[in-house]
Amino acid sequence: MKSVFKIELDRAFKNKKFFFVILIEAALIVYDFFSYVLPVCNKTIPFLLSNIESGKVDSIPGVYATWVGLHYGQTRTILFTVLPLLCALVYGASLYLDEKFHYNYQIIVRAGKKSYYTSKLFVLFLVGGVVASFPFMLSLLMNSLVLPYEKVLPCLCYFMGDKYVMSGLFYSYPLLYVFIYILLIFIEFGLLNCICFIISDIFSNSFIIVSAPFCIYFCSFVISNLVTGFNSPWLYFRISDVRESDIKQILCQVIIYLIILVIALWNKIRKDKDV
Amino acid sequence: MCSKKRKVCIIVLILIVIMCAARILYININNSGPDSQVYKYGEICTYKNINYKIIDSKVYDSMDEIKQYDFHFDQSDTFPSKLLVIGVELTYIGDEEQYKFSTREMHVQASAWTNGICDISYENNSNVLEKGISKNAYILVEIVNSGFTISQKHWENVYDLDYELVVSTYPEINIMKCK
Repeated sequence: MKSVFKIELDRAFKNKKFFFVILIEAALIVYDFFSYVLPVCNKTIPFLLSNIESGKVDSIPGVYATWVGLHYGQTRTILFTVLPLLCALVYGASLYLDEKFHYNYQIIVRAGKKSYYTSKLFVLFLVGGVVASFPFMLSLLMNSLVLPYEKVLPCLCYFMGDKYVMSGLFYSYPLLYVFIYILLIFIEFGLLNCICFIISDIFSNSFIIVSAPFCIYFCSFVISNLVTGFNSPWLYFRISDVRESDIKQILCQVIIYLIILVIALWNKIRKDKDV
Repeated sequence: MCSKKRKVCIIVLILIVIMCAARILYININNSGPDSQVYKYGEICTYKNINYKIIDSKVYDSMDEIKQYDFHFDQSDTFPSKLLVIGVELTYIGDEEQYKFSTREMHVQASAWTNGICDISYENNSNVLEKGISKNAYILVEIVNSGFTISQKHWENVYDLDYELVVSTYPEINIMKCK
């Protein structure tokens, strides 16, 4: 299984689509940096520093206030909208294409169905996670190069009320909170990307397979707006928006999704028609 | 050739990482942010020529229970709410003979919950502090369970939370524990 896993990792990460997607994300973060972070450095902070004597300055913005994961700007909205598409673009259709061109036969004959499909699912998860967490890491790094890590207090302007999950952690250890936030983004978009594995079994069209995670993600939010009491399971991508009261519901949905994934994998492995 | 290229790439990467780390350290050392002081219950905090000392703090259910403080405030009737009253001893130690006190910079917080000052009641009903003379003031803060501001866990424990009075946030952070 190790060799199959290594092959699939190379196919996923050493390809033009991956670099293209990383470039798009980098461009988004650079845009955010120049349109939001630099004006904070060059205009907002000097203005605030010049008005300290007035006694009306509560704080000076730093890395946390300008980080794309926590500031409710245009870039954050765009990122959370297109990330499912970007994650699936890299490697989402690979299972379908392998079956279409019978490349999977070569691997299955040598390594077995279990190794092949398990590696495929795991690499889908990894690719989704890496693609999703990259812009947040880049934003954190770029902001750290121009702004200090400021002291965060509940009475300052952070959109992090007491009702939200781990808000206490944010105000005590903000950097740890940020890393947990990025880790959760990794896990959750990795899981979302695994939808391609399930959809490959249903549809024989690479466009549908690649767009399926985005469609399901988007529809779940539409449904959650229409149905009172229902929360999209992908809501927990934005840990800063998840309330403690939503956790049970979201966990149930995630467990159901994981069961579906395991069943899909088991079904793929036991099928005879592949070889 | 391939391994030479790889070595050069690794060296360049390491150099970039070191430069980034150095830059981040430089930024944070030179801009370490406001000095932060946390005062225990009973300790005196001095900020802008005023000594602050917490003398009491208690959570009440309604305005009826705190009539003695003569607050001018309407408790929320839309959402369940409690009232936190913090007694503070104020002493002006500046150069002027009198000083008009203001709670503009002050907040109250407990874990991730926070709120501003709803009202303040002074001994002798005046916010003027005489130089060197201590005066008690009672700060009123409303704790509203509106679905956003306070978690259910903290609401159930509202009488025993570790409330803190934030006297200032910039250029100094002064936080006084109320218990």
